[in-house]
Amino acid sequence: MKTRLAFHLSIREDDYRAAASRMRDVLVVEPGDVPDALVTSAPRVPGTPSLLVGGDPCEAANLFPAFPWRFSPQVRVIRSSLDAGQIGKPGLLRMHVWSPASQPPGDEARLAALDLALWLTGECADAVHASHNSHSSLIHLGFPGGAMAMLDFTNTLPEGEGYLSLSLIGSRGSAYADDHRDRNLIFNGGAPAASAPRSDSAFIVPMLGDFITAVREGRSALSAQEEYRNAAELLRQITP
Amino acid sequence: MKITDRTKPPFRVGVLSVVKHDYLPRAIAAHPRFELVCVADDADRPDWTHERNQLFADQCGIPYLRDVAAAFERFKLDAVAVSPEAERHCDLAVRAADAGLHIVVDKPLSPHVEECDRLIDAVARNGVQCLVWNRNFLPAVIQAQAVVDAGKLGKLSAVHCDFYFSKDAGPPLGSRRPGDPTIDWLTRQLDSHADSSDGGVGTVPMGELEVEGIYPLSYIRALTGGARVRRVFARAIAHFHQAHADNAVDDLATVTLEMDGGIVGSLCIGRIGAAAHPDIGEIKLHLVGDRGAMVVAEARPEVGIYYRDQPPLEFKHRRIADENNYLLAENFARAIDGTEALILDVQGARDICATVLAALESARSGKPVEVKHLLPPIT
Repeated sequence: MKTRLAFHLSIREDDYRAAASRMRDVLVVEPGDVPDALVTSAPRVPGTPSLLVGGDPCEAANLFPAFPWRFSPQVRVIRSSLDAGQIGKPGLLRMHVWSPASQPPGDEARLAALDLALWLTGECADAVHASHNSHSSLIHLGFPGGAMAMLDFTNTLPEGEGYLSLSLIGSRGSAYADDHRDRNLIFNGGAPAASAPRSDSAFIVPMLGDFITAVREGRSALSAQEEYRNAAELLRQITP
Repeated sequence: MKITDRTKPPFRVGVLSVVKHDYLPRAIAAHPRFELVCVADDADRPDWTHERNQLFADQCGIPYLRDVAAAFERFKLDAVAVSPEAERHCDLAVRAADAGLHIVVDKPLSPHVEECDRLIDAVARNGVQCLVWNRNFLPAVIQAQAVVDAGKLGKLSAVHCDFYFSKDAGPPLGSRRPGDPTIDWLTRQLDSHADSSDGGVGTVPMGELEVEGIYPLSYIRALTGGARVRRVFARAIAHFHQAHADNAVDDLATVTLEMDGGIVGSLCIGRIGAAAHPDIGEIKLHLVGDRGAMVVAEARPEVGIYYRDQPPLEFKHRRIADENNYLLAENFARAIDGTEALILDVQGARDICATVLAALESARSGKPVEVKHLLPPIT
């Protein structure tokens, strides 16, 4: 039995539809075709389980906030290693999130990074410090169990690709996901360019898969909403 | 390649205590402008100190004197290489300065800012040079400095450093059985001499931030053109090693750095265990300017070596073209000649010491802490 999944997105809907069409247990339908579930960028009619991509989820039992960064290929591997006990107890999450001025790492990116920090450490922060200047912001978190997070954002890169680095230092080992490592050299005169293979849509299928599973299992969205609110509250605290 | 006048007679150098890793006096000995002529230490030092001093002296074929003042007098020294426990760095260096000798001293300069101030006064009073050991001449750091100095990044707005040594430090945290005694700091440091992980040797326990923080903070200081850290917020914990937990010092720490000129920075530092990285550890710089940015792997250039039956703890990527030791010694020689400023002088190391101590205070209090500097901000 396929889940009838509809989309109503303000951006990247084609990417989402293409990703869903690759899923064996999903049938992509239009919002008016009585879907079993909806992926949307705006809260829609109550009653249909929905995945809210961007935006603040209201307290409705079937409105799931989307956490795209949790499903990036890098984070999935790290989470898997963490869950398997390979890395041990998280001690430090370090992230650099850089973008060109035309694509500033706004609140959405900060919220996603804060959510990752809470999600990977499994705790709510009990210490928060933020430092800002005109081009950069730095968020420093402490957690009751001793873990810490240092999240750095900037929007001064020249026009072009952004940069993401994520490392998780645990008590038994560490994980390093860094665009620096993943870039290949392209020689075209002068100093070579360094470019990474594209993987910016790789989060969609696993994120939709997780949502479909939640719908099929009749899960409540309340715990996911609480996780969203925890990150949002941190963002509110550090916003100058 | 910097070369000083090799026709000049080499500076005569006394080694004042060599009780931990001996890379510093060996680096000085390897440079043609220097010549080690003796090892000296105080007579009342414990036996293990004398044993290590004697061993180094024997290896170098030079005498060992249990009398520092006599060594100053007898050997007509020009300079000293100071490499005792960190808590004794400044005291020995002050005595050398007061004897009119130039000084190269191991890191960290001191666990106490008052001791740093005492050395600053002595160096100024006697008109001598004092180089504090650092890693600013590693190839990748030189490259980063050149990019910054050429203005390719524009005005720096943020500098971040990850500085993880993937080394063990005795039994892992949580491995002590009920009833076992706590680990004595000095005993563990002495035991770890064989694998050179005894940078914190001394009677006073020192965490990773105190022992190694000077390296990344020295990078940040140089790359920002000497910007001082004005305020810090820090977290610190013993996350990996029982010895650190037993002695209430950190092996993992994070520090937010709020610097002169509105520059924002951060330091993540840890002794994260040998299993946590295939080499010595992830050490990176992230620089952000208003015209560009740069990500620097401090270990590069390097060569990967993999082979059957490779020992698990052997580094699989080996640094190459590393002339840090030579260039530090060259810098010291040129400073003595009066032709170049020191890459890290005692004032700079004092600023770093003050930053580290403020960070430790912040980690204890959970609050941001102002760094106590002697000099006004650089705008």
